[in-house]
Amino acid sequence: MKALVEFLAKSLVEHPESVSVWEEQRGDAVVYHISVAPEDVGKVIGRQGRIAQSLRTVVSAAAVRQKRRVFVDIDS
Amino acid sequence: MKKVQASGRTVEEALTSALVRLGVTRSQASVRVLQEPVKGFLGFIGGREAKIEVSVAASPETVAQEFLVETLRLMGLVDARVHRTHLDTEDKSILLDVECKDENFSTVIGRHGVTLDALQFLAGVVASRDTEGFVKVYLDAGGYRQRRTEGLQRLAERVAEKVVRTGQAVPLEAMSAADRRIVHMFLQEYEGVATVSEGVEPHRMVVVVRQGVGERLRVGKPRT
Repeated sequence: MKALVEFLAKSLVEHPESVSVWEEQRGDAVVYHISVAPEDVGKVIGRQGRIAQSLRTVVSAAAVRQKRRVFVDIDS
Repeated sequence: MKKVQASGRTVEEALTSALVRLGVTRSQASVRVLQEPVKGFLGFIGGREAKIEVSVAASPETVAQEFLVETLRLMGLVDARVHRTHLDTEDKSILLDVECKDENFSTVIGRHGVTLDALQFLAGVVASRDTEGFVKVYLDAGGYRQRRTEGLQRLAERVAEKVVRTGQAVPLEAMSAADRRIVHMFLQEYEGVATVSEGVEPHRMVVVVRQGVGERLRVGKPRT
């Protein structure tokens, strides 16, 4: 799951080498925190958060398959 | 992005061998000279060959396809494959189709196509990265788009009949802009009703109204 979040983030940014993802257990859910280069924040969020929303949808679909609950946060 | 290194007596010679290996024309490649050639004494002592690196940017279509294959694999859909359907060069849109085991389609498509739409949108963003303008990717899986269109049209027709019969406006459930568009287009020809969209994304919905009412509500073209 972490690999998926990381791959999606790296595919979207200009500086994939600056992408890092860390996971935090929150109750029965896992939160994936994405951190990217400051100039890339817009690339993972998108206009009106559309990219971030799509990213969450894809990650959630993968999580549902594994009967898990996940959230994705973008640190900025 | 494909890259090869090549060497030769001259830069030109190195380039030719690189292009042959990559199977591309000169205009598609970008060249970086790593080492200029130096002529040696008597043509063979102490000379240095030219060394270059030639790279070819992958086409947006390939980028989109590879992005989707890897995303689906990491989603746990190891059997999923992505086919190119047809490239419409006119408007630069890319048509791709996901093929996987029947029991996996629900994961790829999601409720009312949310996952398929998200994958489609992300693939478009990623494919546009190295290109001018935005490349539109259309993604389908298991004939879902066609099924959804037909389902929406049946729903629209049922609701339109009811609106004509009762004169009451009927809101449909909230749906994506693409789905709302299907309903608007389909009911445009339907006698006695008009359609408007109301609400704020992502809860925007089509409302089917009686014709006269629609005309008053509508300002200019119906917004999807």
